[in-house]
Amino acid sequence: MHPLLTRQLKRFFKDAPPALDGPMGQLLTAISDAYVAGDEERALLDRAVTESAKELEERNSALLFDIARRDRAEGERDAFFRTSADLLCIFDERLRYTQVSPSWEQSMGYSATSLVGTECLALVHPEDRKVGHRMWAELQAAGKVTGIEMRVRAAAGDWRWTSWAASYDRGRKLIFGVGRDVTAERTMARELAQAQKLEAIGQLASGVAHEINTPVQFIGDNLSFLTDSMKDLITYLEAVHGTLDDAQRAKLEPAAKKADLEYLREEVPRSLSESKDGVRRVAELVRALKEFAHPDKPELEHADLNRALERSLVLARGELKHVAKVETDFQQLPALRCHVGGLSQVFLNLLVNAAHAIEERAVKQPGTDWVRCITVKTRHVGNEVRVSISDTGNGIPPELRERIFEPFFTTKPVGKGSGQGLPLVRNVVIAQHQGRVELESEVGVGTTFTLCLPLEQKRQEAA
Amino acid sequence: MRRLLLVDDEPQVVNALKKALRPWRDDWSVDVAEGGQAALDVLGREAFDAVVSDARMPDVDGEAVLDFARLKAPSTVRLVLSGQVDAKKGHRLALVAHQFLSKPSTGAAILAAVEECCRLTESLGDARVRELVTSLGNLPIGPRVYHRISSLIDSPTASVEAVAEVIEEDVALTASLLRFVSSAFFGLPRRVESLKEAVAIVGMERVRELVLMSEVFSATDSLGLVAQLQKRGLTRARLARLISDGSPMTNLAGEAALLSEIGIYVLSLRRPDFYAPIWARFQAGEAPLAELERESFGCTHAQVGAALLGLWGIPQTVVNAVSWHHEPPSPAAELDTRTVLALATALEEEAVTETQKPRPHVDELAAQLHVTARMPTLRAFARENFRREVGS
Repeated sequence: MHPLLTRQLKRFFKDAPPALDGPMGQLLTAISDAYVAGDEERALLDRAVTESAKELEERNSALLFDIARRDRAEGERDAFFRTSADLLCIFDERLRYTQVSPSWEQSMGYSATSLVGTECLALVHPEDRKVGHRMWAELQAAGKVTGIEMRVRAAAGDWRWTSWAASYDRGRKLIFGVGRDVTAERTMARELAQAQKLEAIGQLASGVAHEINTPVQFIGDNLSFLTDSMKDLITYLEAVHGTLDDAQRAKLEPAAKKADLEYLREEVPRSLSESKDGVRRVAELVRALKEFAHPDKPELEHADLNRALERSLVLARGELKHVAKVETDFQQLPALRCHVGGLSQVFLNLLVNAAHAIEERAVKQPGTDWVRCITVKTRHVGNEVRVSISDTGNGIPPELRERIFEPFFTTKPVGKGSGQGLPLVRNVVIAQHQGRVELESEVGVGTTFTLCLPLEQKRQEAA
Repeated sequence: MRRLLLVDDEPQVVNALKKALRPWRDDWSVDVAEGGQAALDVLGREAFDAVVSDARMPDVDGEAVLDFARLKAPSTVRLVLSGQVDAKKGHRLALVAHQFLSKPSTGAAILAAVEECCRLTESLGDARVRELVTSLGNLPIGPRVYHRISSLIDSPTASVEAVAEVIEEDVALTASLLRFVSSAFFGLPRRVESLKEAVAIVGMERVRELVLMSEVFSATDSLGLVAQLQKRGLTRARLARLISDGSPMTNLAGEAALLSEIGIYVLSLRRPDFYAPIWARFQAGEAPLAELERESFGCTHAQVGAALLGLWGIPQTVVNAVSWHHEPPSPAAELDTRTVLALATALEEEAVTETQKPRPHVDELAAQLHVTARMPTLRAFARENFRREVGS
């Protein structure tokens, strides 16, 4: 019997419990069974309640964990955003910055506040804006682009080559962009291409030099043969002439007139000597070209810079001679341990630039009279060799002086300047020779570039 | 009439050059050969005083032509006239050719070089000596110097000064380097003021090639002279530089001193058979060396050395000084490199002879160089350094 029923019967009947047989007993048994069933049902219910409370708690803690994880992930993403050296930014559909990473300030000089809200294409080089528009069109079509390169202006005013990847979130109407400054890589690639080109030209030049020198040898020999024989012939003719009497001379006069003998006597030797001079100049040019190209000497060597300058002057003669007179003022120099090929290229670039500066001034001030002169000077000062190349061109305005050494910066018309000349000067003088480039310029007076090259360089580690 | 053979695979070159040499037709009869094979054929049949050949030719090249000419008649003057020669080929050509001329060269310049070589060759009266000098491709360098220079150049910290100092210790290497830098091996010949400058101009890489291409002498130095000559040459060079005192008028004095006894070097190393007896008689005090040499082969070691250096196109200053270093002073040689070398040699002789009597002409030489006031210092230097060598 269920204990609760037993207790209740005891209280109700006191000490006279009813007999448990008969109908009363059956009733009590049924009641007891009902109690037991009720108990069981309640226990079942209790367990169910406990179980669900536990589940609730578990779910709750999982949720808390998720939230923490998401917070952390966002923090980590922020850290990426803050530390990335790449240029990260988010634009709206009107291509205005809505968020930019701090790297913009570090590498380009723009604070986030100065950029947010501005139109991003405003910073892109005018020639590259169409690339920007194409990029946006592609984003709208494909949702994603990579490897788009364009020049972006830094706060200091110089142009940086940047490579972009971007994605377009149509739902949120946002564009996520990642840019990377590839100016250095691009410059290096250009320089490498330039070096390879030079090397190829060098190899070609020494091959061609041999081929040219052979005909120059026999043309020169033939000319000196002709000169000598002409001299002998003239001597003979004069001897013959001396033996003639007046009558014979008078008889020969018409023939002499017809042949224009007097003229031939003057002009044939002269034209031979001019031809000889021409051959000598060809030989000189070939030699300069051969030494300039120098394909087999990539290492540092001792060189006489006066000689290298003379070589560059021979090669630049075509560019210079119609533009300005060239004056040289060379001082005896000690041999300098240097990459003479690189320096010769530098001299050539500066000479050609000087010629262009004078040409430009001539175009800007037609009719005015001024001395068109390029002066090349060398000096040995203390522990340095100094080479200066001056022109009486237009001068460089102060605001451009800082920028002329930047890669790809050029003031020359499209197609004339590559913007590679002065950066090469800087690279060769400063990076390869630990020297300095000094610039003096006055607008309307002229420009002087002075290269200061130390005689004692710290030895670079052999590769 | 002398005979000259011009060789080039391009007929225009030899034909035009022959015509350009017409003004010398009274002294020279000029033949031409189109290409190496034609040259070998004509050299096989006929004798020439001089051969001027192109270097790069198909089939039979300039090296083969000049080598054949050398075998046929060692005293044939052999010149290369080339548009371009690479370094390796240049070193090999140096073994068979006396001098290099680069294209384009004028007929006058070519003939001047040929005639100078002939003059030098003919200055050596004795056929044995003439053959020795004209067929000498190079001189072997000492094994010690060879190893030192090879390891020095491989070191990344090798300086020009250090390399030049080691080269100085070897007569053969000094001569090779000066020959190299003064010739048109690779473009224009350069004028140099010192061995150091020569190293700087030629560059470490090419000095290394020069050393690697050199023969190292293994034959025993039968007269035991080489080591002694090297050492004396170095001290003489120091003394010559002290006398010259950096004056540009007497440049290359040290280099001339280093090479001054190259004649003895060559004779003792290559022809000990007839030079050994001369040396022995000199050591025995029988007579002055020059006198014994003249008696035996008609000229002196100074002339032999000068002829060799001249044939190799070494700067004339050095050749003159070497040729003169035992001669009495000449009034024309005031403030001249040869007078510096003559004075250094005289002071050396003074120092090493037992009596230490002043040599004749010493004061005259000193006066010509305006160093009379410095003579006590110079004498003291000579006594101290040469005496020590003799003692050791």
